[in-house]
Amino acid sequence: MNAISVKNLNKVFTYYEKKEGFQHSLKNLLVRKQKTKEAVKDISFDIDSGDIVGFLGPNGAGKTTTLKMLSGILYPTSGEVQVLGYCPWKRQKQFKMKYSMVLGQKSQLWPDLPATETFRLNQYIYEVDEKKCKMLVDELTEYLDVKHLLHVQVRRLSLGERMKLELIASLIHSPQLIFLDEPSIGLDLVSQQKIRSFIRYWNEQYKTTVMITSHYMKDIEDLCERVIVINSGKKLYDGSLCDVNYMFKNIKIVNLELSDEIDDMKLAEFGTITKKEGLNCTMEVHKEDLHEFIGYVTEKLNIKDINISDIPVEKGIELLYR
Amino acid sequence: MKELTKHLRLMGLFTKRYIMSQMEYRTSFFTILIVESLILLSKLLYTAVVYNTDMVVDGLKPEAITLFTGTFFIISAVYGSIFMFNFTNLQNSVYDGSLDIAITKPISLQFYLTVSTIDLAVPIPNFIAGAVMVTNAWKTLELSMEPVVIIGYVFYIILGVLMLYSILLLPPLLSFWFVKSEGISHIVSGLSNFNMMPMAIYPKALKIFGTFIIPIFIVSNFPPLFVLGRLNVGMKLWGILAPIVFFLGARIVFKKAIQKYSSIAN
Repeated sequence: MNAISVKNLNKVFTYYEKKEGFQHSLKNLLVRKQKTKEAVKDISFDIDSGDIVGFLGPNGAGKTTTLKMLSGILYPTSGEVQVLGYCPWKRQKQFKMKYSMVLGQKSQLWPDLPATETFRLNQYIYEVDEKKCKMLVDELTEYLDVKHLLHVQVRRLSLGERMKLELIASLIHSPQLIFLDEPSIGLDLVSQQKIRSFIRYWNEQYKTTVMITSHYMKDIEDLCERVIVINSGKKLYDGSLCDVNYMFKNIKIVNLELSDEIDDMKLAEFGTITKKEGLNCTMEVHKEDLHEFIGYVTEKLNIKDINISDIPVEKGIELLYR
Repeated sequence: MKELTKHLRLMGLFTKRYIMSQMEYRTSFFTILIVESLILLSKLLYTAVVYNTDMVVDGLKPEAITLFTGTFFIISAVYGSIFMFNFTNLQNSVYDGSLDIAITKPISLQFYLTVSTIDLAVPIPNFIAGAVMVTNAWKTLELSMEPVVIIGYVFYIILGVLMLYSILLLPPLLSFWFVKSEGISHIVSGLSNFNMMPMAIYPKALKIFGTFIIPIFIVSNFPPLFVLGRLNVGMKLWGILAPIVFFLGARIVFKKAIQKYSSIAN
């Protein structure tokens, strides 16, 4: 069953530009030329219940705008969306009771009070039984190792600690669907790892559908079997994470360990040198040129080692962004 | 009914948390208490000044004028406690995009953005000063203590609050279109200061404008006029109808405004 169904979703924003300087500010005060930006262009996809799907793209690709439309924060310019059977921008109470949104760069915790005060408020807003809420908070604080932080003013907490408590606050009502917009942004490696394992645990335990955006490849590799990649508002890829590089099956990565220095120009005739450190060289070589290149390397060059592999997933996604 | 109870309880919870947040900063908290106490003193002095003048407006003696000023202070207290804080927050949350999270919560967005948190510090001086002025005027003028008069006065105060809410909500809502709208907010909230004195002192054109076009005089001129028996049937009905019409209008504009919300880029 689909938790999310999106058809031909579009979002156009209006904005204006201002050149540098006071004179242009003055000019802008009187006359400003409005411009439009298509933040999301004709995007369609479905997400099954219980899946964790990575929503990837470079900065400004339209990821957050899409998530905001799916969660009812923004009205789309056009398109059809069903989330948990509801039209999000109708903002029905029943719909809002079933999902949660975590924005890595915005907090729902009251900064001047301990996080427990926000938990209590959410318990009441989401009409959660007090006993159930207490059990859940106990379980989550135990798992995320933040029990000792429950009575500390939120603004005194580190970014990682705050994010863990942010996640708990957003799960008080056991949502069927969670939108996570860069939940690990700015966190250290240990906190990132903890957040990832928690999301995985929550998904397995409660079969919650998760749609996550992140710029950290490790988040995506650890959590998502499926990814949707967008850039400039357009969907570029929707499928298995492992198959991202299949789109670039005609490109092979060749790692060479040379015995002697060699002219880069000579190697560049066969492909693109992506990294060169001393006598170690990494190249992207087109599959059609590979045979000739291997012949050249083995016959003409003095090499210690050679390794040929497919494009790694991370590289595949990077290429998609281009 | 269940939803109303939930929202009233939430109002209490939001207010409690707001006060608790303020109490985290002891110096600021005690400074506010001292400042507000001084403001109270200045308001009471103002009462004495008005009372000691021999100004007569449209047959209204100074005692009657203090009934208008006192009612204005009481309604200003309501404005200061509920609307001022929330309306300022509304504009800020549109500007910085913090409205995002609020929109996802299963509670009435208009409730959350416009009346959810009560600021108790600011309105206390206004309320006490207003209550003293009204009680004193009531006693001195030997006004009727009949329940119908007292209930009528409170009823028109409630309608006045509804009117003030509907009028003052419109400028903050403009922030959904223009992002910043403080300038217009200041103009409109300045208009409500016309209520400090009986509307009779103003020119005819202004009276018509403030009664029928932007009915700001309904806010705190109608309750004392009702008590003094100076509202005719037509005005009594207009005093009931106008706040309802304006409230429904504000509700429609709110719904339109929220559709325009464009958040901010991350």
